[in-house]
Amino acid sequence: MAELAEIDILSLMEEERKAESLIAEARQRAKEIIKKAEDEANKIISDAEKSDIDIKYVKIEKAKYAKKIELIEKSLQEEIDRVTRLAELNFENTVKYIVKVVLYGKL
Amino acid sequence: MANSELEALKQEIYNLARKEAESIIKEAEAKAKLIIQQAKQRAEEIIKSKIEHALREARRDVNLRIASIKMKKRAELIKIKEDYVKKAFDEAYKIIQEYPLKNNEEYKKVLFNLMLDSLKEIINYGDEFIVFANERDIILIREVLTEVEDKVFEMSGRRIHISIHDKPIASIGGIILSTKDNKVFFNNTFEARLQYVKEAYLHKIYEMLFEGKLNDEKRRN
Repeated sequence: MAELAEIDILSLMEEERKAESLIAEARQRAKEIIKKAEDEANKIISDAEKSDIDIKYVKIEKAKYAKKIELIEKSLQEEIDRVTRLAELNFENTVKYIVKVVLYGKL
Repeated sequence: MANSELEALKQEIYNLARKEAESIIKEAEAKAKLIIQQAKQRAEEIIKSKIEHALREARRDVNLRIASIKMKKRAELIKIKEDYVKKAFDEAYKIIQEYPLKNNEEYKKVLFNLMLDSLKEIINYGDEFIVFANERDIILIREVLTEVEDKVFEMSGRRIHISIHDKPIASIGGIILSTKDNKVFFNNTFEARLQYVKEAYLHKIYEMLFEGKLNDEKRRN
């Protein structure tokens, strides 16, 4: 009976060793899982930092404003053209006015 | 211990170990999931910040571009206006220069009035005056001199005397009137009058040249 008990203890110790090994394997696996997650996390952040998505946004934004710039430029040019046409139209009368004031004006 | 009890105990040990192992893995998986989740969140923030920064820069560039275009066009407009004003004065100068040649009789009246205007300015400084003019105008002034003196008498009751300076001045026309002692004078040459108009009437000239409506604008309104 005493012999049998000794065998039982050995058998139980063997089972405990197996159990510890199982847990150790699980811990090792857990470390690997976390390491893999950390690597993936680093890659996600690194990809974000390297990403050139902002360039795409800038292109879209600039394209959106290109039309506005074009309209502003066109409107300013129209004002220049308008003033030039007015000046051409009013030139003769203005010269006549200057001549009149210089020759006859009470200055 | 019976064999079956031993087996049950061994099974219990195995089950406990398996449960703990599973728990360790589950915990690791949950932690891994959290790590990835946080990384994704951080990545989103990085991307968002990059886009915001890039858009700010892009809008700044656009605003600079707009400001630069406006400045360039305004400078162009100012230059055009200045050129037209200068052209108008140059043209007026030419017409005034040629005026006496084409309108001799009318020009005598102009000189007459210029002399009266000049006298109004300095008549309180004496009774004797000297008139300076260019060679052509000296001849014409001679013809109206007495008339001017008489007009002053008629208007103020004062008898004045005006003499003509022999040496002609370099001018396109008009006169300089001075007291006999040369202490007070009034420059009424066309150059001086043009300069005065340039300074005092510039706003009016700008209005005349550049304001108003074009025909097509009138039709539109």
